[in-house]
Amino acid sequence: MTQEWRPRAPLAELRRRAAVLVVVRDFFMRRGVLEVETPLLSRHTVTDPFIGSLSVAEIVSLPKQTTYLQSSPEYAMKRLLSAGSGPIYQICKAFRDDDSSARHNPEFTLLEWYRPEFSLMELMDEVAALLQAVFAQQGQTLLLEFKTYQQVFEKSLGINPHVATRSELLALAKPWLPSESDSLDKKDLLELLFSFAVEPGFKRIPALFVTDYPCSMSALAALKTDEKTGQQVANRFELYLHGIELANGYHELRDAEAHVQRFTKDQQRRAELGLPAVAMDQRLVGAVAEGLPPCSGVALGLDRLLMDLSGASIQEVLTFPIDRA
Amino acid sequence: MATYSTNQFKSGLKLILDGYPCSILENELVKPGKGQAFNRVRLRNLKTGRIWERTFKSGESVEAADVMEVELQYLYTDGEFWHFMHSETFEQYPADEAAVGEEVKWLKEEDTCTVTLWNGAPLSISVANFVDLEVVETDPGLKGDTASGGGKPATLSTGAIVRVPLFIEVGEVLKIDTRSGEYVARAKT
Repeated sequence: MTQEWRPRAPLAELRRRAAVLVVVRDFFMRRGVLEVETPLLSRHTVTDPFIGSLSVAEIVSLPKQTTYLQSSPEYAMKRLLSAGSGPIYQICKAFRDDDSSARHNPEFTLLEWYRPEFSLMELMDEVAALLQAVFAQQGQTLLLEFKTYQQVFEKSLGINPHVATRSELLALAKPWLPSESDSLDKKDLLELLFSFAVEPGFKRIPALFVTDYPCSMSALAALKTDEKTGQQVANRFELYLHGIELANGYHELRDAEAHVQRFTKDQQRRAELGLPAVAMDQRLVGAVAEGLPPCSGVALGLDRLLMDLSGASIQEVLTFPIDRA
Repeated sequence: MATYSTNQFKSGLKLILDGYPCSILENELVKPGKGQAFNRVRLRNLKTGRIWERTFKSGESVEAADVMEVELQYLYTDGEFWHFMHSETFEQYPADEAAVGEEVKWLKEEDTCTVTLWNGAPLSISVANFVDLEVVETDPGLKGDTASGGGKPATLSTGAIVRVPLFIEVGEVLKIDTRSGEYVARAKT
């Protein structure tokens, strides 16, 4: 108990973090990407049903309303893009009110960046180049693999995730279902199966890009039609390092009306699940309506990158994780 | 009714599932980035001893089990129940056959045991790691044989049969490791 004032991360881990931050800033400076800062404290938060936002009781400057600690800088950065910022990146804290685990702390560090005119493939190449630079600086190398969501899902479960019915997924999910599964929709079941049956197979893969997600998981990614199969998919990728989700990238949705539709759908789902109502961010909608440039963007968990480099838990790469904060 | 939310889950926490008291062994948070989070939990069913694996939706609440461990003295058995007593309150607790289980073979009158109570009634018992028990039956001892690797069966006062060195005789009190069921030494008198 008396040792609780001490930092969790050893000093060597703090030095590694500082060295990685130097590599990241140098990487973006050379590529002409502008470092920006956006508010951590804001009037709005995301509508996503399963992202727990931390709210702050009334503050003096914004009386009679709730403010939120940001779960990601996405909306504010998109407002900058619509205002003509050009390519931008940010290294900031983000907050999510979820259970802690060896890979979750309520406060964590995100590296998020946006590339006007980049296709999602070009952005994945840039993510790979950044990781290669970080790993090289640390005297490590990284091998990359690319698979589609359908490929990895079919390999583990033998069923096409894009066309499978809810009852087929329910049957496959049986070994892992919670006692009350009525409220799980098709998307929830896909995610459950992916977490329990597919992701464990990624543990031995140093770095894996999974692309072309089901449309139900598009969040704010644009949709595209797969040329070979004719299947409509979300133009989104997730990057896993040794089975741990590191980064999430989108070819960004640019249609303001589609934003409103997706936010409304989130709000309905929140109501169905009895979750607190969240108003949609009209300033983001306004910025998108004004004209979000064609772009791709990605959020990368810096703490998790450090975890992969050291093989440690998230607590061991943080100075003061929540139990010591 | 007391409940625990998934964010309170940790090893050792006692819950009621399907009517059985269970103890959490491991709790893992499984969270897709933007999706419903789950807790994958390994539990021991305290009634049957079986290990269960269950999934809970994060945020779900589960009924808490009123389970506690107490040190009680074993008094006697009437054939149907094994009676235990708290040494300070003198309150008595009858344990059934299912509760005493395999431990019965090490259970000696006046010995203190750890008894797990569920809603105030014995759920299981656990005897001390080492108990002293008297030999009631064994083949005659071989005088002078203190080093031979061989052994022989001996029946103890509780009915348990253990392997003992050849020199052990009826009436001697032996120290037994109840976890392995093995003879350790002659008890110090």
